[in-house]
Amino acid sequence: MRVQRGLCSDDTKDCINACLGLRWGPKMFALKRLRDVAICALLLALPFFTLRSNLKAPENLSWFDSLVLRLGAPLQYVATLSAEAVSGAVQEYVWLVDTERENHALRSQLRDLSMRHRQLEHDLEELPRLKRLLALKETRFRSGLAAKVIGREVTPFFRTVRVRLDLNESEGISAGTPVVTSEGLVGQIRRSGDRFSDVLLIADRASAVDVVIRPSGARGVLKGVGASNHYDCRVEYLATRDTIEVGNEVVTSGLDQRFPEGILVGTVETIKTRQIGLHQDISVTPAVDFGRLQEVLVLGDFTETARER
Amino acid sequence: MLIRTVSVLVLGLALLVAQATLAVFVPLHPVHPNLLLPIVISLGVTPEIGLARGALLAFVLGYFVDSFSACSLGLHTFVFVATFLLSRLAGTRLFLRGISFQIGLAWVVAALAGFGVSLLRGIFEVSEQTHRSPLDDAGGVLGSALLTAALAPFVFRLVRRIDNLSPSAARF
Repeated sequence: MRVQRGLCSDDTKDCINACLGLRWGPKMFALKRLRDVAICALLLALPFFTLRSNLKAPENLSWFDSLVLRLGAPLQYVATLSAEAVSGAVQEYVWLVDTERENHALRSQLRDLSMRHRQLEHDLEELPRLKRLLALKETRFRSGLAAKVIGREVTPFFRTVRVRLDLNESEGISAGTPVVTSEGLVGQIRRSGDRFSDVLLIADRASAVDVVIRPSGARGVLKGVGASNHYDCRVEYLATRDTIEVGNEVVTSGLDQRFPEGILVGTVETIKTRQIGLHQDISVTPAVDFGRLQEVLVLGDFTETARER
Repeated sequence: MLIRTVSVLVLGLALLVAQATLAVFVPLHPVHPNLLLPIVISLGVTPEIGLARGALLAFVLGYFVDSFSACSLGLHTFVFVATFLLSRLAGTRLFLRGISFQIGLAWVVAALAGFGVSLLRGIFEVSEQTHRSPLDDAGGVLGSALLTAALAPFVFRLVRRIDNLSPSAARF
């Protein structure tokens, strides 16, 4: 006898029997019902007694409880192992999600801290310079106004030829105002605009400063060479009778009515005596490294707003 | 039939994992949904599922919960089988009336299951520290039942999808 395939939506035993023409009699139904009820009763009784045995105090365990526990132990062991494996994997996944989130937070924190660290390092570098500038202002130039270098023009040889400051015309800055640092003379304001001021460095070809060479007291005019690869300046037409040595300090004389007296300009680098005549020329290395200028002091009479600043 | 039975168990396992993961991210203690209970209810109200097979599936699902939640072995196993039988008694008429009835039935059954768990604990727990009467947990049980009921339609739909996995077998 063959099973008629395709007639059944389910390949249960009932269906197969139906297809085979077998009919459930009342006795079969009763038996099946009895079987189902027995299984349900067993499935209720089994966990109930397991629970009872599990939760009982060990000293109160009966032989039946012990038997239940003994029989259930291997099953429980396998189930626990499986559950631990699955929950371990899930937990690991959850931890990974947390780790990812934590990683993001830590990266962000690290960025912030790095930024703060850089800022602090910068401040730390700036602090001694500002202290020196402040000392210079308090001890020598009370009318000075601190300014920050906000721009510079450099040559192909990385020599700074022009410096821009964050001071403007409204603050009383005018052309010719001296600019100094704690190291020495920087130059003078070349022009002052609405937002900034440009500085004419002493190394510029257009610059001329009346100077005195110490200790001889020889006086001359320091002019910028305007070279693109060094900052050297020259003092020309010094009398040959003036005893000048390499390393002598060159300071402002104050006689040009522009730069206050005694500001260090540089040191004598080389001395060149002219073959014919009574003069000697010296080369001066500026005291200020223009390439590293960060803050300067601008000397002069300023407006109230500028002083408040 | 075997594939569908295994699919229900896999779904139960997946929902258990989802439930455990949800508990980590959304700590709502003492309220926590029981996502496996709607599966048991669904098995109970589907007359095509035999009594013995439904009870056996409820048994295994309860055993999963016990194993995963580190509860006393048998606690949820017993309650799940009892829930299946209760759902079978509730019948399908009420269930087929729409989503609101599904939620209502799920809430009632989940609450009864929750109280059942508390009751069993109350009866069998020997430690006085953990011994609590079912009424102590009433708020948590009702809240959990509400959450379970709210998520139940989603689980019912998943079970129905498994039910329709094979075109040759529209039901379990």
